[in-house]
Amino acid sequence: MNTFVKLFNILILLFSMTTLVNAAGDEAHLKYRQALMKATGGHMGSISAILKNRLPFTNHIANHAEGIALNSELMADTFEKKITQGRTDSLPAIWENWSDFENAAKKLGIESRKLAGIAKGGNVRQIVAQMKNVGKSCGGCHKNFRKPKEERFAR
Amino acid sequence: MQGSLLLIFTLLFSTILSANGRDLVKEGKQIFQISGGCACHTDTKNKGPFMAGGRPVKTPFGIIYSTNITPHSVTGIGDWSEEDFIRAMTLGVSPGGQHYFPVFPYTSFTKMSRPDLVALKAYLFSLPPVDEPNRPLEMNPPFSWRWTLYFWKMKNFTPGEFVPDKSKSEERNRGAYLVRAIAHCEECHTPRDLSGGLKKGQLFAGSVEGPEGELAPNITPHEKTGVGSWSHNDMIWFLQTGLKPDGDDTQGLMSELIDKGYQYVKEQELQKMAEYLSSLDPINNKVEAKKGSQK
Repeated sequence: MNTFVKLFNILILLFSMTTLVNAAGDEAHLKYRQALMKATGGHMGSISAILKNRLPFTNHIANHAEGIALNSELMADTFEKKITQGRTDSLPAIWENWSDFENAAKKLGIESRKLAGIAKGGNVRQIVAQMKNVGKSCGGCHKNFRKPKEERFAR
Repeated sequence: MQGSLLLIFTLLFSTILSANGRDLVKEGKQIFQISGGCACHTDTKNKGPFMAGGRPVKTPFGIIYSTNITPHSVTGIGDWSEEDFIRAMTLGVSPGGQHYFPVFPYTSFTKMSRPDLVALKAYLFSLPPVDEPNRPLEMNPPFSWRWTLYFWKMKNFTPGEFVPDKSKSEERNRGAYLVRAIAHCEECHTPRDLSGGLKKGQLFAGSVEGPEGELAPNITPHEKTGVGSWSHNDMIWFLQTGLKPDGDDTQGLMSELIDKGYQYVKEQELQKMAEYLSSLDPINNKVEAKKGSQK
């Protein structure tokens, strides 16, 4: 009986440790996911800052747009693992409609690459018009796959 | 010879007309855009027809469906006179004499000038009429009793056109008019009391129970809880694109208002709106998700 109890306790301990290790791994994964999205937002913010303040850096916009496009290629990989617990604003809809999510990330890539191309031409009106399209593609994904603001975690 | 005379006469006549007349439909469209494209009157989620109503607007008192404001003569407002329209917009009373629920923001539209209202009606009447009957509201008594709105208005509604502040500049007054009368920002961005009236001491300070249950941020220039860190260019860019200074995009009803309205507004007008909002007293009000709503 003693042996049985000891064995049972060891199994419980092993199970707990596995759970803890998984939780720690998920937390790290979440942080990376959020860092990727923040980096993408950083590029969006940078392009916006150049345009709205009419800064003499329109030649930087193509680089930022390319950065968004490259990040978009990492999104499917980064979100493939389903993590809905913890400090995340991701909706389960991501994994329930995986192909839609993938397509939304691809759309971001397409629109931001278009922006990179247009930016090289230097026509600010056209750049602004395409920037709106990039913003819409961000929104297209957020609308379906991110929690509404009243449910999001404060950061 | 006769043809030339006719041509000259026509050109002269049309020149006089355009010099004195107004392109009401064009003006009305601009006002429509400043109002956020009347986004509440289209059931976007269910791909409803433009301006034909049917959009559910959730309130703490029940659900009210927006109405058909196309010029359909039976199910829309097609048989409304100019006075009917102005009375609805400025007094919150239907042509039949019924009080409107203040989810229809006549509490702000009352400040609009008559010429702007006439132009807005002209634009709405230029839209294709849609045969779409209005949906009955889903509210329980006593909240569904329209006659009680007579008393609600006594407490919460001060009708009357916008009066410029003579101590302020023309631009500042224009900004105030645009924000408070047409764009009706305070209707969403101000917390409400138990009766559903705006808390007047907290105008623009944000609300956790905004329209459709959405969180509406504090847009006073408070540094930490409002938009105090936003420049005028940040505000204008946001209203043009929906993109916030941190690069994130806005969602929900605000994104619709930008998409259908604000993005088309002239930059000079957006500049005045930004200047007005920046001139407000900052109010410390942190608007955040209700406890328990985060999973």
